[in-house]
Amino acid sequence: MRKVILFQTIITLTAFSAFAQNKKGLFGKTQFVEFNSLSCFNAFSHLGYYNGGYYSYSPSENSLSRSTDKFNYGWNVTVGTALKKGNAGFSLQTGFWYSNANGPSDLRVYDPQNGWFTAYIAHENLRVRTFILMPVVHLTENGSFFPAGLNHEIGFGLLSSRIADREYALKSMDEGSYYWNGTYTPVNKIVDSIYQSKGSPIDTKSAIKGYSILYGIKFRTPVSKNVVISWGLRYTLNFTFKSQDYGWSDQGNYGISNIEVYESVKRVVSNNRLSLNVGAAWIL
Amino acid sequence: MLRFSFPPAFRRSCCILLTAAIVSCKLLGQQDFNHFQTLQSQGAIPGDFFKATSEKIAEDMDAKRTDLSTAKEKEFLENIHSSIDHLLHSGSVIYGDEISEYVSAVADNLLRNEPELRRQLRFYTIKSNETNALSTDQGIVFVTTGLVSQLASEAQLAYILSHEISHYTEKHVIQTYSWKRENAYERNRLEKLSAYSKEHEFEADKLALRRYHAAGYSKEEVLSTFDVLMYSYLPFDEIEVPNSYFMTERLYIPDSYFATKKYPIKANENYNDDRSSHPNIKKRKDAITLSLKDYANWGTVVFSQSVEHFNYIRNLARFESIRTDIISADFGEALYSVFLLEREYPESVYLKQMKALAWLGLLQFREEGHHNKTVPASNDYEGESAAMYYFLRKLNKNATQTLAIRNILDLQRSLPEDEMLAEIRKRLTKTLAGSSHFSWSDYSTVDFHTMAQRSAAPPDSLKTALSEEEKPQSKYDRIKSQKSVNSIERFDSTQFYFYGLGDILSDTAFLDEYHNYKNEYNARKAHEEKLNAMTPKERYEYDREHKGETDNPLAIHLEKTVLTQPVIVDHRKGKPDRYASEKLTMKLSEILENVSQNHGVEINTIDHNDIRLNGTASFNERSTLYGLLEQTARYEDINAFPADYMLLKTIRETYGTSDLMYTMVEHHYKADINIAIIGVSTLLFPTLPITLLGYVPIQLLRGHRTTISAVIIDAASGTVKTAYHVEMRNKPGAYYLGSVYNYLFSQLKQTH
Repeated sequence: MRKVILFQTIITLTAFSAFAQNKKGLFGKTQFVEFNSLSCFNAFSHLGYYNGGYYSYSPSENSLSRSTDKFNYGWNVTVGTALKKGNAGFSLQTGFWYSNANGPSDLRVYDPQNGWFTAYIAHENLRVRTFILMPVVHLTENGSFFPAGLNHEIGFGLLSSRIADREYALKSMDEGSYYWNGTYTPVNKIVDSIYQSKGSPIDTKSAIKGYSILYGIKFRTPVSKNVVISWGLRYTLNFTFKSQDYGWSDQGNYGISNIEVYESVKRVVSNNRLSLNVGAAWIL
Repeated sequence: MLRFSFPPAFRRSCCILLTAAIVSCKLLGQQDFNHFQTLQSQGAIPGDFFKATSEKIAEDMDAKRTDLSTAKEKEFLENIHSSIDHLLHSGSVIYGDEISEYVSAVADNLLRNEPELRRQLRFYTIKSNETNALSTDQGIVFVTTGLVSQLASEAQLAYILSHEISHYTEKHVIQTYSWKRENAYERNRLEKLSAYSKEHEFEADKLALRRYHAAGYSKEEVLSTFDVLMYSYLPFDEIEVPNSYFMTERLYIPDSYFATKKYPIKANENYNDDRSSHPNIKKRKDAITLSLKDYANWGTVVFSQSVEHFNYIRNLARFESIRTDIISADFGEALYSVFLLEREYPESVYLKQMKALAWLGLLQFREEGHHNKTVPASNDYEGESAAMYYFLRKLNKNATQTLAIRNILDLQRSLPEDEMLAEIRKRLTKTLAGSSHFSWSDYSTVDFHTMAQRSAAPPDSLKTALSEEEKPQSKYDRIKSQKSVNSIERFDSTQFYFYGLGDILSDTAFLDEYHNYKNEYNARKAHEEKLNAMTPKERYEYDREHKGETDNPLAIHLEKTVLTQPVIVDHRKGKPDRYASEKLTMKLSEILENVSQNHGVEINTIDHNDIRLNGTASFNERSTLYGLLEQTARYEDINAFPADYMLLKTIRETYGTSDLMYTMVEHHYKADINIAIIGVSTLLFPTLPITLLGYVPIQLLRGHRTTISAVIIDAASGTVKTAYHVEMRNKPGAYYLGSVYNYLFSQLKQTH
């Protein structure tokens, strides 16, 4: 009874006080360095995703088997500070997002006697690394302790995606024969032979550039005076710049269409993405 | 010069020993009403006051006192323990004091044949002017000072206690609880609950007779107990206030200010009790009259202890009631109680202090335009006290100023050595200096009677008499003279207040003090006006120039503070979760001590832990500090002069600071998820993932609301030095709280 009055008393004495002020920072500290891991289950995270009817393949026991791209991940490092009044912040975020793009479905092969012909292939998923550099504005909820606490992140940044330079597996999907080097040879043997000697002709030099818009809600829970565990959700809308002429990836007697490859990469990069964010920050 | 300073723990121990010594001396003797001190707890602290709520619930669960299922019993115990613990820790409940001891002695008499039952019961006093007694399922019987102040005999108290004991033995609390659970959705539930509760009251009234009769108390006192209840809304006595009570040799008040009629007492014992938990007095009297016939061989005991002792105990309650009135800003009631008690104790320093405080309060509330709250309204006028309330309400601002000055200065002059009265006088002077409606030039050096005589005398003879004293005057002197309050032309008998302070106009020490305060006030006001008149650009430049002179109201250069029971209330599912709250509260004390240490602020915490360690001395300190907090809240934006000034002085001296800190944290969780949005997005199916993965988690994360409030009150003056309030959308985690308090202490440490 009276205790309730006493509680109310303190609130009454202070609630309408002109002295109410926002504190700034966690224990007065406002700068931070943060490392975040990002993860995304594609089944429900790629809003509006359409894989274009291509199949994904991943290596399995010296072969390639059909697969779906279920899970993507990434990481980023953020360096930031609270702004003067402590109710907003600014940071620079940089990191990588790893995703998989479908490989090409056609391999163009050149036979000096018959000219070019097309072999249908299964190509291992392309590992796409997207580098993002993004300035982010952090808007805190009233009374939070930015960098700690609940805050909304709004960012606009640049991205650059490349296909990882590695050995990709591919195999023929075509059992037919073709006149090759003076004999009729099954296409799978032709493809295997080329692959064994020269590998996948994927061009990993070109980059796809674009921009990214971020909205995130993040909760940074302090676990000590200097360390916070951060977790939250990020929504990114990615856009790639107008297609450039990627041309033909020509290895002399065989090649693939880079247009097909990069369309596939672009499709993956420009997916709208909902990802889960878990990390830690050091408050300085 | 060498100075030795003792560590705070040592000073504290000395203080506790000293307090214990004073308490033991008091136990041997009785209070001197001329130097009355508010009642405080005495002796060893009972477990009810230091055990944690969770501890009590666990003990009761082990004891399995009820027939309820484990889950229901837990819920029941949580409810009763948390509500009773709120009361026990409110600062208004005392134990081991003379009233509680007296009540216990009466209970001993009632229960002399039931030692086991007696062992289960504890009796405590609530400092409240409500006339009430209540028993709890835990075996605690509370009696209010308001009830004791109204009693006419020990037998009446015995009957009331017997009634409360019957509630306990018949387990009425748990029965009511079970009824409420079982009938949660009953139609006309309130009326049915009222009827159910009335059955319990009739049963307790009836059963109370058994123990009352067995103890040999008089039959006649039973029905008169119901009179106590019926008239308990009136003051503890009915004595006419003579008009002369407000007048002094220097101050005359015309009859027009006083009530010309009597206000009848309108109480009716057959009032409508349809929605009341208790039957009306008539029904209770009728029922008990029948039950009285069941008993023969009535005893004759009205007082088993001496009448003098009963009167003494009742006077304790009556003296205490004035402090309660002052804290609640009920100055009308306080002055009437002072009037009643002054007749028996005209030299009581305590009564003088309380009277001065009541007049100061009336003046302060009048200045702020809140005076209507401090005196009962005309529709509450009943009995003799109405004359006083009528008079106080009739006073305008000038009249209130005059009466406050007259009374406070006279009281202080009668006890020039009294520190509290001297401080009250200073506060009076400050209040007058800050008033835009007060000017000494309005006051006449001539008293009312002299002016009245002069104005009634034939004009010619008066003129002659006056002209003999006067030098030849210019036109302008004559205009000034006519406008002067001393001029006969200006004399108005309704403005009696301008003719009651003539002697004070020649008190240069008082006037100098006033003018010093006035100059300070004027300088402050001029500065504020200057700032307000500035354009935004001028203000910006001014602020830049005066950058070092911080306007930060939190910068009070805090070096040492007494922290009173920091509290966290964690609400879950809309109601306080006592387990979580208790746990968090303990953490909060630690956080505050760590953070304050980091900023070099010495903090002395008076909380549950401290009370567990130091017992009654610490409990009393906390009660005093709560008293100040309550008074501060009741006075709202008016700076309360502490009713417990002297007790607070002891605390100030013990801890070496007058900065008292109170803080609390409240946490709620409620995710504001709008079902309509989910409904609409389900209909517009493609938007559903956005709603479920976007809107819903965001709202879930934003559901926490934690408010942190802190206030620092100056124990010497009762003024709020600074206050801080912040809301965050996080859980009250240790580091968030640490961060808030870190900021707060960093600001408090700064110099203004």
